[in-house]
Order: sequence, then C-alpha cells, then structure tokens
Amino acid sequence: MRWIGAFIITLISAVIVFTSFELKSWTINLRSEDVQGFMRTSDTQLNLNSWEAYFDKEIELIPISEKIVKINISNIEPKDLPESIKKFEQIKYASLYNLKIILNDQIKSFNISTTITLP
Amino acid sequence: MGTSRLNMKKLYRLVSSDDLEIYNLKESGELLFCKSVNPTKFNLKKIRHLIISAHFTNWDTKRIENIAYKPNSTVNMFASQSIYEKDKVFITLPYKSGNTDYWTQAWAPKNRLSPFLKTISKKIKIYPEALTINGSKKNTYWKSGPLILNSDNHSDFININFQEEFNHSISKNLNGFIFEPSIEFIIFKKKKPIGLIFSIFILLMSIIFIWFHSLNEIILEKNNPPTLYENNISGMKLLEIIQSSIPDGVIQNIKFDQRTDSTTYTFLSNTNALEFFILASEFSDTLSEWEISNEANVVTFKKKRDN
Repeated sequence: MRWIGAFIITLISAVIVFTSFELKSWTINLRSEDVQGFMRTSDTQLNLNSWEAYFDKEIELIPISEKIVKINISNIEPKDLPESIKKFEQIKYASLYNLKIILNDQIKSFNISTTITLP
Repeated sequence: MGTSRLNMKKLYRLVSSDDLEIYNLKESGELLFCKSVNPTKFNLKKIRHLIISAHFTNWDTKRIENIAYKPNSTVNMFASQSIYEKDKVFITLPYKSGNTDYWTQAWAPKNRLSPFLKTISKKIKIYPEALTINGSKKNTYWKSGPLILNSDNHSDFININFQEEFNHSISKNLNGFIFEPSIEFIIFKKKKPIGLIFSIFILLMSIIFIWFHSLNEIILEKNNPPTLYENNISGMKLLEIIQSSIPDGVIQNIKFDQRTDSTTYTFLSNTNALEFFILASEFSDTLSEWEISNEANVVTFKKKRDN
C-alpha cells in the first residue's frame, strides 16, 4: 500500500516537472511571438540587435541611464519615413519622449532621434 | 447493557495450539469470558489484541537498584538464562515495576508462534499473559499453559505454583481478571516508510521546481501585467498634409519636435517660406489645431494648447 502511495506521489511529481517544462516553453513561445517582448526585461531591453530587428534598420542606441535610452536612426529615405515613424508609435512597453524628425535636404533623407523610458 | 457490550473491545487468549479463548474487555480492564474456539478453524486475521499463555512464553524479573539504569529497547535482559538463541525468540521491551526496583521482560520462541503468525494481521498487538493479567482483585489462581499462576497482593509480580504441591481451586479461564496492557511483544518491526518519505521529498522538490522554473513568472505576470503606453505622435498627420504641398527643391530642412508639438520648415529662401505660409494659411479648416508663424525663411507649426 505504501509503495503504491509512493509510486503515485512520484508519478504526480513527474507530471509536475513535465508541466513546468511545458509552461516554460509556452511562455517562451508567447514571448517570441511578441516582437516587442525584449523591451520588458532588463536582460534584453538594451540589446542593440533586438532593437535593430524591431526597426529593421541600423540604429544608434545610447544609454542615458539604466532605464532611459536615446535612439538615433539616420538616413531614412522619405518613402521609408512613415514606416519608421509607425514603428515608434507602435512601441507599447516603453514611453516615448522628445521625438525629433529632421530632414537633411542635401542628401534627401531624414534623421529620427528620440528618448525612450524603459519599464 | 447490550449496547455497552457491542462497544467493548474483543481480547483473545491463545491458551494452547488448539484452544483460543475470546473475551470482552471492559473499559476498566476487566475481562468477560465469551467462548473457546479452535484457533486452527478461526479467522485469526480479525484479532487485534491477543494475550498468549505461558505455553508460548517465558519471563523473568531482575532487581536493579540503580535508578539510572535504562536498558536499550532491543536488549534481551535474560538471554543468558534462555536456551534459545537471540534471533530465535520474540521479546518484549524491558519493563520496570512502578513500585519496586524490579525489571521484567518476557520472551517467546519463534518456532512456537510461527504457525499462528502466518495467519494474523500485522496490526495485531500480542501480550504476555503473565505480565499483563492481574488477578489480585479476584484473588484466585489460574492455569496458564503448564503453570499455575496467582497475583501477589504485596508485590507487582505473578507467583508461579507447582502443580505437585497444589491443592487450591483454579479458575478455568480469565473471566473477571484485569487486563493491564503495559507490555507487549515486538513481533512486527515497524519499517520506516523510506520510499514514501523519499517520494514526498521528490514531490516537494518538484513543487519548488515548478514554482521557480515557470509558475512564479506566470503568476507574477498575471498579477502585474505590463504597463502599456500609447505613443501617438500628434504632428504626424500635419507632416503628411504639408509634405505633399511643398514643391521639390525649395526646402532646406524639416524639424518635427514631439515634445513641443511643433514642426519647423526651413526653406532655401524667404520668398519660398512666405509662399508656403500663405498656402498653409488657406488650409485653416484642416489645420485649425495649429498656430502657423513665419519668420524669414522659417515656417513653424505649433499645436494649440487647451487652456
């Protein structure tokens, strides 16, 4: 009887461990589907590659403090400007301040700079 | 009366290999004889309390004046007096009389009890008759196996009487005797439920694991959902409208400042700036939210603030 009890408890433990891995995997999948997921955790929110992947452009990431960063995107062609601006507007996990869009008429391109406060 | 009998515990007395007596046990410890049965034809599994007669057991007492003496629970105090080897007998725990300095212990040869042990429940408690039956109240003799016993009113012990020199009346059974279950045989050693303890430990570990590995994160996220921001850029619509109405090659610079909600157009000449200012002023319906100003080659749109 004791051994049956022990077996059942061990079985429950195995199910718990299995469920834990499944939950983790589910959480990771859910986050990977969220293109802005990297902004939510301290580990990834200053990752240049993640930001560049999000904007689909080369950017300059300048940390001002632990939670405040300045982002510069240079040489945006006029046709790409609305898309770039849309990307900034769509940022949902961080607050956008002081967005500046400057046209450089000599090379017919725009520069965007903004300050972002991270969660 | 009938109900109180139903509530009584049953006590069984194994007198010999072919005689099992059944008693009702009162709360006071008094035994009420019910009947005798043949143990070989009786379902021994249901027995929970069994006393065994001197046919199956032996016992001895020893006076130890040292009050600090405490024998180990597994010690056989009278091993030297027994003809049986240590592992061939069941023993009781050593027991000290409450009123005297005497220690007592009983033992029972395994080979005599083994035919019964195969058919009894592991929950059974087996008592040595000579150390658990008190006949002092009844003040009579009784037969236990080959021995004739009686309780001594002046001590805690049972007297053994030899049959040859005995001429008193002997009680046929233990009816009216008092049962005092102070001492019992160690028959089935309780095994520690190591497997169960280990599995419970694994269960706890798995609960801790799931908490730190995934659950903690999910619950925290559920309780503290992330703050969502709306980063609408209010001047973008203006930028789109204006941009389409500026001819190519006349503008030097456009500066949009989200903080001040202003857009500054720097033209190549003052004339171009003035023409654009006049044109923009004509769109007063569309640009009603904006204040437009012109200074040299710069035209500035600034969002009107609600006061």
